[in-house]
Amino acid sequence: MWRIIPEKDFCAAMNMALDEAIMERVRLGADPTIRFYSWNPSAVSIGYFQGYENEVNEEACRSSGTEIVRRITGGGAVYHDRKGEITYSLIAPEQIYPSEIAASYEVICGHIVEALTSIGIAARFSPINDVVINERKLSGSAQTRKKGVLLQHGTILYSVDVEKMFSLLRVPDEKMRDKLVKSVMKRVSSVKEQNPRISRGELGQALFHAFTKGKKWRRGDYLPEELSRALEIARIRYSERGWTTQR
Amino acid sequence: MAETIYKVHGGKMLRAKVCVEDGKIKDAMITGDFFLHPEEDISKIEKLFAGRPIPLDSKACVEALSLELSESQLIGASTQDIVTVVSMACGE
Repeated sequence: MWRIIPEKDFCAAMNMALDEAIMERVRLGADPTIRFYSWNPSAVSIGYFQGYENEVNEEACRSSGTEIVRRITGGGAVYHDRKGEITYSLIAPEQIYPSEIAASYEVICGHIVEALTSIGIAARFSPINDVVINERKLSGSAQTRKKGVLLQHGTILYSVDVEKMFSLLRVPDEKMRDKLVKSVMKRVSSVKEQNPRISRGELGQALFHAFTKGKKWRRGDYLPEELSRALEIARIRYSERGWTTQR
Repeated sequence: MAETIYKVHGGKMLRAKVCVEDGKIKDAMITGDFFLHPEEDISKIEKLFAGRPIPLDSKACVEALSLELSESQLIGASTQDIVTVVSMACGE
């Protein structure tokens, strides 16, 4: 039976650590889990393979109180605005999903497509790992598999401030910054931009229903032992500068 | 240390940072927003280039890398893309 944990907010290190702590328990036979969360304070997460100095404007993050964390999943740099998105993590035995990772992205991202469609946004899955409307990105996801357990996490943009995002991230060519911001504004959208009448709460409900549809599930919460294990993982890994700046 | 960036057509961004000494790659670091499963196999990719003379024998590198990653899943880039970005970083 799936455990579904409704949205709560945590700091960046704790959000990433909770994913690992739950993966450990699922590996030992605990129920698969879907959790929804937000980031408090706002944060930048970078993919496992990304170069820290290439991707993050550390000074801008520090002065704005934006945390920085390196994920265990690949993919790109993401700005997680505290109120601008909803993030999900799905943690399950990997045999539930296709062994081919590209195919499993389509299955799990399909829940996001369903949620957005249910609130009147004609989204579609765009390989490898995005959900788009009219070729404009509303959601991105990243997946890892470790010791038989799959973790896929991703964001669904409720509202986006592209200029704020780019103030915190580095661009490949500073001379191209303005052009890049304009280009990204054309290629990224948000639920609020598509329909200002949809509230963040309605988006959250739509996601909850779409991710639970067809599953046996129960509403749950973090166990005390998960929270304490996550605190330990946050301390030894995600809060460590060595981990964050390793590449 | 030389660095270059390469956008895979229809895929992800790759960056290669290489250190060349005495006409050979001393070490190489590959970064980017691609996916590799398992993630630890990034070390296999980077170790493959260490000690190789430049200019790189691209065909041999692609073959060796493909063999090294035969049990892995590389998503958003190909072994050819990785060899290309390393070659570019070496000034080719």
